[in-house]
Amino acid sequence: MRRILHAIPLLLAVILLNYGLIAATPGDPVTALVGDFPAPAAYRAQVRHDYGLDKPVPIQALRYLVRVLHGDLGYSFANRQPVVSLIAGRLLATLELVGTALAFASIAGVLLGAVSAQFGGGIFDRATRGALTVGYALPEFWVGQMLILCFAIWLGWLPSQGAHAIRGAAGGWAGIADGLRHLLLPAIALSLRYLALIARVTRTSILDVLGANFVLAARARGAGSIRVLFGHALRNAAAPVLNTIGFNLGFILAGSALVETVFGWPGIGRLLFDSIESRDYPTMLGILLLVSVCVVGANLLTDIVHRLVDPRVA
Amino acid sequence: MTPPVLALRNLSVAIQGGPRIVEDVSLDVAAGEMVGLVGESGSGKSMTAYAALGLFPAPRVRIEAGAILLEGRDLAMLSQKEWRALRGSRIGMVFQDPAGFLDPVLPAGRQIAEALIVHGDRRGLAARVRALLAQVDLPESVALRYPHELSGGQKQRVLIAAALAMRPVLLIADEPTTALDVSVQAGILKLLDGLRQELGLAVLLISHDLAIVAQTCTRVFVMYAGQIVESGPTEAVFAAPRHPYTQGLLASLLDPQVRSELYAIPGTVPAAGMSPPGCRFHPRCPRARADPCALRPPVLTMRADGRMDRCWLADAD
Repeated sequence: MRRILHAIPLLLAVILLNYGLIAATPGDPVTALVGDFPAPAAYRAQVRHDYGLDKPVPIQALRYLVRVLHGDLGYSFANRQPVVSLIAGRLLATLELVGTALAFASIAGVLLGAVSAQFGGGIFDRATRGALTVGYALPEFWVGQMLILCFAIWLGWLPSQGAHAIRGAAGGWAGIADGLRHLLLPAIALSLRYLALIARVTRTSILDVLGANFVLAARARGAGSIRVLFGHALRNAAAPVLNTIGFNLGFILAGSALVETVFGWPGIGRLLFDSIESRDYPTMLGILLLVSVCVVGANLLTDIVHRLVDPRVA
Repeated sequence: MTPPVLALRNLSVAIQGGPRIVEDVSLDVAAGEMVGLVGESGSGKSMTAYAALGLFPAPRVRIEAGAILLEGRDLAMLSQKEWRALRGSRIGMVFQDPAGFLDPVLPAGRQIAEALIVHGDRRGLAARVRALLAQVDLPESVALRYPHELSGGQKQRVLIAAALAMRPVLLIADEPTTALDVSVQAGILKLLDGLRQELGLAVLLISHDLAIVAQTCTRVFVMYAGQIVESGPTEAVFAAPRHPYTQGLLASLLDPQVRSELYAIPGTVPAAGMSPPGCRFHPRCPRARADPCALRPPVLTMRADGRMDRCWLADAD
């Protein structure tokens, strides 16, 4: 409960800070609004005044904050619609991609780390660790392009672009199958690094726990490796793993900007990329705010899950 | 004659490719008997105990030679799977530091039930956990408590209940009171002694504390540098110790009746594989002679009264 109260001032500060950051970037929003052709100075001043851009930055930031608190994220001229509805239209696609990637990275990462720890020091463990180091070092956009090259272009098994087939969305099961086929490659590209990271943290954490005395006590009661792993080690090893997952949600969202661009995925990440290109400040700010809310929310959720898993955290 | 519950015969335990940390140890524990195994830390007493469970707290430690007879059946050559079937069912173990040996994220009842679940005996689980709690004098409510909500003594009682869940014939207690307050120690010892009587348990009590062994054990084995150096009925050994090491241990006990200089045996136990030639104790022994103590290792010898010792000078008294 206290954590939730802490999150509120944090978010307010983040909104102000985001505004300050955008204001500090080179480039004049008025130019973006008016266009690049020469406009009368009086007209530019009028636009500047209309949007409150003639006020000092702190005042602008506070006014932005007040509008955000009223649920108004501004208007995107580049897309000719309010930022709120713009983001809302793209949110589902990103949640689908990021959610799938995060779930896959978490489940596969924890399993891989657990098995690797179980065979600590053996061939499987060493091979996995090598592969994980490589996996962690590969950037998402490069993995994405390689996946497109292999599975879409050479093998022709899977589509390379978009969230569903261009010629009309099929309904029912066919539609779902089509969506999954489109989801597979971007989700893998986005999850690979985090899968590697989660697997490594899980492995280390479980190896730590396997050396604990209560594991020895469980084995003295006749527990075998499987029971020790799932009955004792996994839950005790959960805290660092949960923290890693929660902490990296923000990075996955950031990574989705690149992956969505590579795969032409109609989500928030691609919108952010486009809004930076077109200097669409309200949209950039809106997405930054959304990401901030997600990160703060993920940390809160991590805390709550941590409490459920470990009774000592009261 | 029924065989003793536990009999170790010439047991040696070694680090793989390294020195022996337990050498040629023989001892036995009968049903309904509590036997003490004492020595300083590093003497190999805990490793001897773990060997009887086929389980070692450190990697690459192996049973190298000898036999471990449980009710007459040799366990030394069992597969891991066969060992697992015995651990927690025929042999229970209680540990030194109850805080570390309980899983912090599981309620006490789940840990007491673990042996029952592992050995596939789930009938009336909840009722049996309650009965086990009653047996170690804990209220039923403890079943739902987490370890951090329990006191040290309560935690040790939970571990004892967990060890007894499958009604083992042998209970190994490795320094069960060392981590506890003195006021709690007596309660735990009394409980162990009561369970021994009530259930006819064979108990092997490992301790560095001679006072505890004197109170509870009928027979005692003294270990030094991986070997048994003296054994016999507790009363006789403590009244007239024959090995200088046992004498030193007894002399280092505090006696409230006598105000005197504190005594400590000089030096430390040699590390495994670093034992001196001759008698392993001779560099620390106040009575050691150049010949034979420093030259030839003494053998464990049974004297006329049935007691055993490993000292060149013992029969000279």
